This record gives sequence, C-alpha cells and structure tokens, in this order.
Amino acid sequence: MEIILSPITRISGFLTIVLEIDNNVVIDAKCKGTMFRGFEKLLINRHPLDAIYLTQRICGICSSAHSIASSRALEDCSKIDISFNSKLVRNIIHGFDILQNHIRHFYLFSVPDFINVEGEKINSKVPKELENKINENYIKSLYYSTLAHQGLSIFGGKAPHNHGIVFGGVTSKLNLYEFSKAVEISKELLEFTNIMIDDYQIIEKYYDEYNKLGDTGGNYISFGLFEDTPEFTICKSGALINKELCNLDLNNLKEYEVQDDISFINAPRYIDLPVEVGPLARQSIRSGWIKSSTLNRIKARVYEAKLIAERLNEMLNLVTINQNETKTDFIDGIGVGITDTIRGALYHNVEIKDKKIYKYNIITPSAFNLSPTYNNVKGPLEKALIGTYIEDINNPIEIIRIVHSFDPCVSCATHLVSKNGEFLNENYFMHR
Amino acid sequence: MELIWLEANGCSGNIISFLNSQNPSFGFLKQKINITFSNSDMYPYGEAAMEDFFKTVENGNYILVVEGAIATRENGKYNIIGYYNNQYVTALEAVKIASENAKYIISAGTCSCFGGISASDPNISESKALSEVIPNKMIIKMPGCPVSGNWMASLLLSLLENKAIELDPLGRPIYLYGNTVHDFCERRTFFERNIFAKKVGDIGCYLKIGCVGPSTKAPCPYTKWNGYIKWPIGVNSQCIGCTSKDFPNYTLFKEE
Repeated sequence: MEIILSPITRISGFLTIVLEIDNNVVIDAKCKGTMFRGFEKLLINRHPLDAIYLTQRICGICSSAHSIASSRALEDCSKIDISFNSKLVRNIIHGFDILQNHIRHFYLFSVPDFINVEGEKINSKVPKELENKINENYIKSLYYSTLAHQGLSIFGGKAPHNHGIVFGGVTSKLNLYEFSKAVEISKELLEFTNIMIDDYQIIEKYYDEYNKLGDTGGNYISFGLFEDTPEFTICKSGALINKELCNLDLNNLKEYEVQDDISFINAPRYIDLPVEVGPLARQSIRSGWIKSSTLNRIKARVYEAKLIAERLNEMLNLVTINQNETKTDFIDGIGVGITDTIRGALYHNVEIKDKKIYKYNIITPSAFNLSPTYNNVKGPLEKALIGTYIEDINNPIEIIRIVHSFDPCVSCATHLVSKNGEFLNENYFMHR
Repeated sequence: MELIWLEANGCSGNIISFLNSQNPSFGFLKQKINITFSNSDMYPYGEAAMEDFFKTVENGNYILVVEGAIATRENGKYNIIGYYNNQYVTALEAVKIASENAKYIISAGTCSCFGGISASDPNISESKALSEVIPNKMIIKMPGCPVSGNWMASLLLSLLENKAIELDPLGRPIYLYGNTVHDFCERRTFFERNIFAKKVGDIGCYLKIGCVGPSTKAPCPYTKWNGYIKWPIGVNSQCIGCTSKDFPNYTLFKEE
C-alpha cells in the first residue's frame, strides 16, 4: 500500500515522503520537495555584488552559508584573496549560525520525536524524570538559539540574512564593547552544548535501535568547513567513497534533472553516486568512517556543536579590533565558491559578463541528501527509509525520526528542474 | 486565541526570526496563544497536521499569519503544503480557506506583503503577494526580509491585549513603519556634514553607494536587530530597503 506523508513538519520548507509499504516494511520511498522559486534565474542580469545578499534569501535557517559561498564565487572570479581577519570574522558569523541551527534542530525539531514536550503525544521510552529534564532544556534552547543569532548579528548586523559578509571581506569593525558581548555569548553557548550532549546521550540510551535504522550507504563528501583558517578547521574537503578517503575533485560533481509532477529537487551526484552530506559526513572525513544511521547523524550534530563553540571562543580572541576590508572592483569571468555548512556541502557557481550576472548555479546540501531517484538509483534519504519496519501504519513515527535526523531544508533543496518539457536548467557546468 | 502560521513560497526566515524574538519572546507568547498549525513548530505531521489546520479554521477564533509569496502558476502547484482527503493542498488553496474565518490576517515578511524576492523577475512560479490572492480582506502588513521577530511579537501581543493598531494606506502598523530609516539613522550627522562612504565598510553616510534609507519605512535604527545591539548600518553597510514594496527590484550595491 502507498502512504503519503505531507507535510513533514519540524523542518524548513515543504517535504513530502511517499512510501510503498508491504507487511509493515517500507519497500520503496520517494522524496518530494514541493515549492519552487527559481533563484538561479532571478539573479540573471543583476549586479554581481547583489548575489551575496540575495542568495541568502534562499534559506531562512542557513542564510550566512549562502553569503560565504556566494562571496567566494565572486572573489574566485575576480582572482582576489581576502585577509586572515576577514576569514576569521566570516567563520565566526558562520559558526554562530551553525550553533543557532544545531541547537534549534536538536531540541525543536528532533527531541519531540523521542520524548514528550508540551503535553503527552507519544509513548516515550525515556523515563518520566529524564523526560522532564530534557523538557526543561527544550524550553531553555529557545533562549540559546536566539542568543546564537544575537552573536551573529554583532558581526553581521542582523539574522537571518546578514549584511556583514560582502565582496572582498567583511564590513564590521569589531570594537571592544562588541567583543566583550560576543565573548560571553560564545561562552554561554559552549556551556549549553554540554547540556545538549547529555540530553542526546539519554535519548541514545533508550532508543539504541536507531543505531541500525536510516543507513544511506555511507558514501560521504565535504566541501570543507573553516578550511581557510587552518588552525580552526572543523573538516577538510574530501570524499569518503566505499570507506576510502580521497581528495575532493569538483569535476566528479554532476547534477541531473528528474521529471516529477510536483517535486522540484534535482539529483546531484558525485562520481555518479548519491552521497550523504552534513555533520556525520564531516565527522567521518575528519576522524574515520562511521556507519550511516539515524542516531549517528544526530550524535555528529550535537558533538559538532560543541566543537564549533570551542573554535568560536578561540577565533574571537584572534579577531583584530577595529579592522575591516571590503572591495568593489570585480571583473568579468567565471568563479566557483564552495563551503561545507550546517547541512553539508554547498556549491555556488557564477559567470559574470559585461559586469552583470550572466549565469548562476547553486547546489545545496539538502539537494544531495533529499535527491530523488535517478537512473534507478535511490537518493540518500530514500535509501535510508527503505527496509524500515513500521509498527503502526497510521503513525509511522520511525520514518519521521529518520527523516528529521537529516535536518532537511526544502527551501534550499528545490532548484532548477525541467517541468512539463520546459527546460529551466541549462545544466551547465563551468569549472575551470 | 489560536494561531495558524502558514509558510508559503519563501525561505521560512520569518518564522526563524519570530523564534528569535525577545521581550516578548516566542516562549512568552506561546503561553498566551496556541499555535495550532506551523510547519516549523508543530508535533503532528502529514494528514494529522492538515486536520489541525482545518479544525482551527472551523473553530474560527484564530490569527492567520502568512509568510512567503503565494505561487499561482498551474493553480498553485508550485507550492504544495500538504496532503488531505486524498489530494494535495496548495498554499493558494490554503490561504483562501484560512482567510475566510480568521480574526486577524497578518502578512509576515516582504514576500507575503508585496511579492518580494519570491515574485521577482522572471517569477517562474508566478508568485504573488497575499493581498493579490485574497483581495477583499483586511491584512496587517509586516514587511521586512525577514520581518524582525521583535516587531512581530510586539504586534501579536498588542492584538491579544486589544490595543488599537493604526495602519498606513499600505496596511502597515504606523508604530513600526511610520518613519523612514533615514529619519532616525545613526549616520544622519554624516549625511548632514556631506561625509559619504565610497564603499561599504567605510564610516560615513551610504547614500551614494545604494542606501535607500530615505525611502524605506522601518524602525531598524531604534529597535535594532537581534539583542538590540546592531542593525545593517551599524555594521557599516547600507540599508537595502528590505521592507519596501519594490524590494529587491533594484541594484543593492551602487558604485559612486
């Protein structure tokens, strides 16, 4: 029988999961992203520097990542390098945004799958006393994710959609008043990540069957997180294919269009393989292959939050006071900007002609993870769902737990696909 | 009072911004208002979530908040929000249904208020402002990209306390959108002394490099943003007019 789960709530954007079920076991799964705006098209003919502010509007929960990838693409095109201080400030902005997301995702989006928050909704395996403790932290998490965006806005002016990251560097000049505020905020966040790890461990203890569920196949890639500031790198760029670590080669990246009546997610592939991206991919690339599973994905996210908070505290101390750097002299050409971010690998590709944006292409982390079946090969999330045993067909909570562990963002995932024979994507690739 | 927060064709940045609100905070407001439908913040999923949506509409005592523009191409098929009674429900259908019984209707963010970036050229999804698809309804417009969570929270609390909200001809609350950014800009003295920045990052007035503060109505200079510390001009960049009707259909970065 077919089950249509729509909407998948507690995510950003609109995700529909279509399941084929036989004897309570998922035998087929399809991922559908049901919204579309067409960012690549609306950027055409715009002033190139506008892209850094406009591409942030792709996503309200990971906006700063787009400003980083976009500015890198423009700087690559103009062959300019930015100062170490600008790199630090950008990574601090990005770091605060990642913490905002990881705290928000764990407590607001993921925890309610395992314990009762705001009233009785599920039969939780976690004892009442511990459930109450996590519930208290669920309430506190609202304050801490807000605080992370407050930290971001010291450097970026506002969040979501910051103004601080611009072509050639950053606009903000940190003074000691702002520095002292940022120092305490990052300390507070670091302390809270320890609480988050404790709460994760409780859930892990009572739901250990999720160590076995939600396997994408375990091929991972990363575009590198904080790789431009080597002493603070969270993860280098790389590909972990068939458990073997290799250097990342963007020539192996392809994006295929998939015709679907209601979905707008296309299928990015690496060496023609669907790959998982995100905190678990980063942890595997950093410290050795880890099995792809629901709990490992959540675990990698909460532990990464602590690592990022630590780095944030260190980076803050190295920011040069009262210094900024920006540029305006961009030139025509082609540029690529990549970074790993909250949900994984992000790619921006710009072509500038006659001082205007001629082409723009974006591949987002959620497009990797939520990508549909192409050439009879399932996308990572689809594969992770197949084989799952569902206890109650009327409440397939197992599926929701697996889906949430990917932290899906559909506002990001939906890009140019062909629709009713009308080709929206020229499918260009412009690597030099 | 119940609340439906409908994310339509946009970035979901307005609900994130709302979660960021401080005094009144999201948590404080949740003690006074029951959010029965929100894609980002509700436990039920699938048909059960849609059932909560329809039940709230039937009960009739609710505030409807819509963020994102409304995709109208192919009867709204470019933005499906759920599945109910064996068919997909588009955002276009959902806003038409939900606007019927709503006590207040609020457009959160510039896409919902005026079309914004979601409706900008070439607008493949044929997205429109909420007011264009439910033309005869009173809508309180809260533009911004995103709208500051603090502004939204203050509006919701004021509505719950039955405070009179005076609106301007575009439907924006005057207590928030009554003045231009330029009126209260912290760089106003630079403007008056003719000290103009040549590029973003420089200290000065940004009028000559694209700042649209003089034509943008928003309270950013005095409410500031997250944690009341900073705002765009406070980090040495220009106001890009994100609360304006024509945002972002102009060049944001101009060369002097």
